[in-house]
Amino acid sequence: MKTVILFWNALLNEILKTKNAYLFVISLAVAFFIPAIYFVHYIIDYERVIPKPGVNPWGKFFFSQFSMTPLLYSLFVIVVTSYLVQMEHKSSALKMIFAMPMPKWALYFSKQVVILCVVFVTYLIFFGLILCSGYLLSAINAEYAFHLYKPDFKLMSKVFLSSFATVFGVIALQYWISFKIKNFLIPLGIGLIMVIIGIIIFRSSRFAPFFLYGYNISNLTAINPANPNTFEWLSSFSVYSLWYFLVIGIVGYFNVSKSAVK
Amino acid sequence: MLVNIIETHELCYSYTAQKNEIKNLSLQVPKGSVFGFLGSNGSGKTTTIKLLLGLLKSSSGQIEIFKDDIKHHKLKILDRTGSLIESPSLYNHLNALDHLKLVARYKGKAYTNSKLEEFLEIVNLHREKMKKTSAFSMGMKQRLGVAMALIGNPELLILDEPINGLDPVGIIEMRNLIKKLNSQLGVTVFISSHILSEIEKTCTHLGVIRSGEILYQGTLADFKNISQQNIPVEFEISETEKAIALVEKRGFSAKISDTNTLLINFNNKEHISSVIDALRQENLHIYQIINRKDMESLFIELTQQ
Ligand SMILES: Nc1ncnc2c1ncn2[C@@H]1O[C@H](COP(=O)(O)OP(=O)(O)O)[C@@H](O)[C@H]1O
Ligand SMILES: [Mg+2]
Repeated sequence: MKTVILFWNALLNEILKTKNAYLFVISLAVAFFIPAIYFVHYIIDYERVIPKPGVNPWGKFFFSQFSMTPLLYSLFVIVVTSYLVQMEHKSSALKMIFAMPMPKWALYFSKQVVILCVVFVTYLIFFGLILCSGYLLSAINAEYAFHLYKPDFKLMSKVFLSSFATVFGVIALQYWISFKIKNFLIPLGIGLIMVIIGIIIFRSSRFAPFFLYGYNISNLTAINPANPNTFEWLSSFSVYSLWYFLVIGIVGYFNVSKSAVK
Repeated sequence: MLVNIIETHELCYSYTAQKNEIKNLSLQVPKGSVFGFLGSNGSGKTTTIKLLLGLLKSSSGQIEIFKDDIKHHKLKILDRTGSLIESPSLYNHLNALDHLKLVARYKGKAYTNSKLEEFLEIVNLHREKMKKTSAFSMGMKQRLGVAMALIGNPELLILDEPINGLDPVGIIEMRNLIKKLNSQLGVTVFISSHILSEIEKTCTHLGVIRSGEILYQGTLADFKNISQQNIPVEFEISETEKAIALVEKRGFSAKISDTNTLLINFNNKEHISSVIDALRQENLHIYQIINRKDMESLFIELTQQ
């Protein structure tokens, strides 16, 4: 019970620290980016995108937008992680925080949980915006037919959750790197390069299962467009990511808790 | 019996293999004292404080705070300790009240906002409670840092150069605050500074550190006594030759340090007026008397290598 309260207090503090205008704007911008482009695209190219009679428009609308996420969301995850840790370095707050009567694991993991929450909420807003923009399109022009069909929520949730799960490993690693390197640009640069490598090698079935930063995009390739319902709740890439998260999380924590706060 | 709140034994620390920043440091900070930790820049004050708070791990030696070893009872010790290390740790995008909320939660205290505002009142910041700290002056930041250290009513307060960046009024307020916390609430205060006059005005005990080594440790009163055992006084005087003879006849050592200036060494300040009387009796003119030895110069003598 005491442990729960400790962690809860640490978590509330991390949430208070996210009361930050930049973070808010970046998250919203990322969530709006793809749905906004698709909305405009559907309005302009309406002749091409209007579904044939009897076809559920949601599947195409949803998957084509989701297939745009890997680069944007991988970068977002890296920026948010670096930014929230950098906040501590910039305020030289670690010396204060680590001199508080709070166990180090609570301090270390509470921030990681909040980063996961920020990413989750951003994904969720994105998800919601896809739905809203579909109905809005139908309200403007009934030919879009979104109002006539139900979205396949089960399949969408699978894609949504497995995509979210693939960033866990990246968050744990970027978090550790950002903790160790006080300079904001270095973790960001490392992350950027890794994401680019990930996007290059995700097609290689030999390397893709090992390369953390490519999981987000590899995960989407696991969807079979002909038979999307074979998609698992957690793809193998999401599972690898969660293992990475666990291992890097623990190793990173022990490393940070052993090192001096200079 | 006097209990020591902080006690270190033969503490050593080095940042790198080449150099020892802290050498066999043994400190005793008595309960109820205001302990001034005095040393010039780079002498190891902040390093010592970080060791005391468990931010750095000593390479050898022992630290006991509240009679508990920091190695095994760190969180328990930190629970009873408030600290401000170097410049205060403030988040630019948060306001003053937010910062107190943060510390209160880290200390497991469920304080209401009005309770937190009391801490801001102590340091005279209650009018700026909603202001973001990015708009704070250096002095305001420093005061907020102290308010944060006071959360949870610690029995031990560790302040690293708390008057840095304060204006003269702020310095006086800080001094009064430290005295008040100590005398009214019985808080033991460990305060580091490189300014002797500041320590002299607030502290009951003193530790002088140079290059990571303790040179003096004890009460301020004892330190003052030591500084008064060898008092060189400069006399600007007419007829120095005649004066020298007179002074030496009375058993004091004297030398001409400049034209018209005589440097006389006393071991007791009571003797100064008797020398003046003797000089005046011979109708020598005294234009100026300068006491060359005060605590400041003892400190400088101690801390210069
Ligand atoms: N992070 C660090 N890495 C290496 N050396 C350091 C570090 N911090 C301080 N030092 C060295 O330790 C010595 C003591 O520094 P410090 O404790 O900050 O002195 P003070 O607080 O008395 O001014 C100095 O020689 C300084 O150069
Ligand atoms: Mg210092």
